[in-house]
Parts: sequence; structure tokens; C-alpha cells
Amino acid sequence: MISERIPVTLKPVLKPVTTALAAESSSRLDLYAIMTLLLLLVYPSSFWYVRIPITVLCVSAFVFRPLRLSPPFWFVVAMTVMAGNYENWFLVDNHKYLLGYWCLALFCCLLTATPEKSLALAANRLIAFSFLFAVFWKIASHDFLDSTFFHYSLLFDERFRSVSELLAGMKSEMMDANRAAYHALLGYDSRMNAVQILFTKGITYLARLITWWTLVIEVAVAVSFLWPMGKSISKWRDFVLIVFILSTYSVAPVLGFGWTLIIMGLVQCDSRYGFVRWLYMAAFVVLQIYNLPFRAIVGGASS
Amino acid sequence: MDRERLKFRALVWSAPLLLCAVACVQIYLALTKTLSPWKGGGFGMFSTVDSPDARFFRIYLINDNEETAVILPDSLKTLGRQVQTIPSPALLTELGQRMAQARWAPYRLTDPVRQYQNEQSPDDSLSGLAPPDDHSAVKTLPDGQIVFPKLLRMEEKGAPRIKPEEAVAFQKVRVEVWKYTLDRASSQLKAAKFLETTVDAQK
Repeated sequence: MISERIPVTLKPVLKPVTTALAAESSSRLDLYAIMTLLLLLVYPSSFWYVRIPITVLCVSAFVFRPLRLSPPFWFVVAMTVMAGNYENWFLVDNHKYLLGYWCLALFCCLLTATPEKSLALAANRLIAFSFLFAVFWKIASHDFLDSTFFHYSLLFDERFRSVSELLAGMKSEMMDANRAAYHALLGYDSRMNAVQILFTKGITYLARLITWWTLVIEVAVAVSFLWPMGKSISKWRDFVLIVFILSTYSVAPVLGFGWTLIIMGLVQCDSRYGFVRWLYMAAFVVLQIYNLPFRAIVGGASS
Repeated sequence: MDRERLKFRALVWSAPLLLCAVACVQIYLALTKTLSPWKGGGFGMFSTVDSPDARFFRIYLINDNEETAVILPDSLKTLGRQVQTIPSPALLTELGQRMAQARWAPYRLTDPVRQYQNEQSPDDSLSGLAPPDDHSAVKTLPDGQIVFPKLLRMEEKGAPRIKPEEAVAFQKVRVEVWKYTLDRASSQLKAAKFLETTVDAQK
């Protein structure tokens, strides 16, 4: 009598548990979809024939919730992004390629029976391979390891100007003189073959430091993500990626790239460590703070 | 069961494998051709000074022995960017031909008030135009227009048309692609010619 009753009493107990798990997984997938849609909206393509369809698709997905987890929807989004990249391959930055692959991964993984698991695996591989190729280029390049590239960036890339002035002792007048020399060399009617530039010893040291830090952190991300999941160094991959995001984008705020990495990092992170998710969310907030016009704020306050 | 696993793997790996395929093509093009490591989906950004911005143009309209340097026109900026990203003789010739087919004339600035007044009572605003071979100095025409004989513009859609009498004569267009590098030892930014083509003007 009892043995007959057990299955009857167990059935309703087990069913809600399964449904709750499925609902939790579905809500997490929904969160990843929303973050990707926001990324597509906030950092849109500069080509109208990509930007307008993507805006319409994203707004539709915010209004009609089922679209967010619909494979055909993500197929259209992925194809639109990738068609824009294909058409303008010589203009678009690498993170736009990564965004296209990510949308394709969303489409493919939503077709599987376990979309959250498959998406985590795809996100992990996308991060691993993108860093593997980034490391390849840094080693293969003729002017990276000798720190020439960062030496140049610290002197001529406006994004590095604050760092050069704050940490390397470059005076604003020296930066302006270098900028004038640059324009003299590149002017449309210039006949010059070389211009003299000014820099402090600090630039040499800082360029060397940034070069080696970049190489070490990118190798660490590539290795920790390529390592079999759950084993030794792989357990540290989220922390390494977050350190990369926080350190790199504090100097060069390519926020679209940072955001893409945060979404993929969040998707693939080990669900056993709940606080890691919060670290990714904190990194997302910090990235936005990096975008504040600090120079203007400090300059405004001092004047 | 195996078929399901295969399908799962194919779906999971499709995006990462596409990333690898594109990156391998990019590496091949950058190492064997002229593609800048910064572009093409190979994740070579922030690895070298040799970005498309480090490749720049010097363009000349040639008339007999005289060369006039010109700026790359806005309508050719996209093609120009392609040349900067992956320079090739064919692309450079195409760029040169597009410039050689067009009319060129000195830039003019017009005082908006004078232009408004002229449009109310139009007169011959070109009456004081300097002949094309006079490249001596900046000129101010009687209608208030300032003409820059040495600063030429190409006729493009959306910009004022160039009248035949304004057009400058030239026989050839020479387009050069230069590349700069940082020489830390001498503290110099050095530029070297990378590619060059000369195209005959089309009458």
C-alpha cells in the first residue's frame, strides 16, 4: 500500500524542482540576451544599413519577450552584424567581429537541448581564441616586444595622453610639439621624411612596463581559458579576465570590447562561485566610470 | 546518441571555428601581403605601430614640370581607407584613375552675407577669377570670394560644380602611399614611401 503511494506523493514534489531549475536557466539566458541587445543598441554600427535594422530588431526583442530566446531572431541579428562586417572588413574593429561571432553563438546554442551549457562553452572558446590570436600578434609583431608600439602610443594616441602626463612626466607643451611634428610629417603638401619628437625617460620606462604587463595578462587569459575547464589554472580564469578588463580599459577605454568580454565572461563563469557574477557586474560599472571625462572634471575644478 | 553529440558539438563550435578561420586568413594576408595587422578580424590591434593610420597619402596633380599636392577628396575616403588597410597597385591605380577622371579647381571661401546679397541680385561673380596658371597667392574676388590657387578640390557630388573656366589643367596624377615608423634611437618619426602609381589624366 505504501509502495503504491510513494510514486504518487513524489511526483508533485519533483516536478516543481525541475520547473524551477528550467525557469532559472531561462531567466539567466534572458539576462544574457538582454545584455547583448543593450550592447548592440548602446554601441551601434557606424553603417546605417546595419544600425537601423539592428535597432528595430533590438527594440522588437525588448517589446516581445519570446523573441529574445528565439533562434531565428538571433540568426537574423548575427547575419546582419556579420554582413556589415564583411562589407566593411577593412574598416571595422576586431570587437565588431567578436560581437558577430557572439550573436552567431547565441543562435547556434539556442538550437541545442541545453542552451546554457552550450553557450557557456562557446563563450569560453571565443574568449580563449580571441586572446590566443591577440598574443600571437604581439609576439609576431616586429615592434611590440621592444616596446616601440606603446612608446608611440604614449606619445601620439590621445587616449594615452593623460597617462603620459600623469605617470611619465610629459609636459603638455611636449605633447603639443609632438602633435605639431606629426601633422608636419603627414600634411598633404609635406615633403618631409622625418620629424624630431620629444619624450622623457619616463616614457621609455612606462612603455616597457605596459608592454610586458599587456603580454603577461593576455597570455594568462589565453592559457587559463584554453586549459580544460575546472582544472588547476582554469579555476582562476574569471579573475584573470576581470583583471585584464579593469587594467586595459582604464588606459584605452574601448568600452564595446570590454562589454562584449564581460557578457561572455558572465555566461561562461562557474555557477558554483556566485560572487564571480557580481565581480563581472562590478567590472561593467567600473568600465562606465572609466568613461567619465576626468581631464575635463579635474581641469574644470582647478580653473 | 552519437548524432546528437555531433550536432551539439557542431553548434557549440561553429562560432569559435569561424573566428579561427577568419583570423588565420587575416594572419596569412598580413604576413604575406600588405594587410595591416590591426584590421581583418585577426585580433592584431594594439600590437604594432603599423595601423591603417600609419599609412598615409601624398597625391600630386602634375602639369608639365609643376606638381601640386592635393588632399584625398571626401568621396574617395572609403576607397582610400581600403588602400591604407591593404595597399596594392590595383587599388592604388583605381584611386588614381578616379582622381584623374575628375575636374579640379582652387578652393573658394564665400562670405555668407555677400553670397546672400549676390543671390538677391546675381552678377558675374567670376569676373575677377585668376587664370588657372596663376598660382601666385590667395586672391579675393570682387564678389568677396577668397580663392586659394594652391589648394585644389575635386568636383564631387553635393559640392558646388566646377565650371570649365575654373578648372586647372593637369596631365597626370601621382598617388604615393607612405608609411611611418617610430625610431626610438634617433627620437624621430620617420616616413618612407611604400607604394606609388602615376595615372594619365583623361580628357
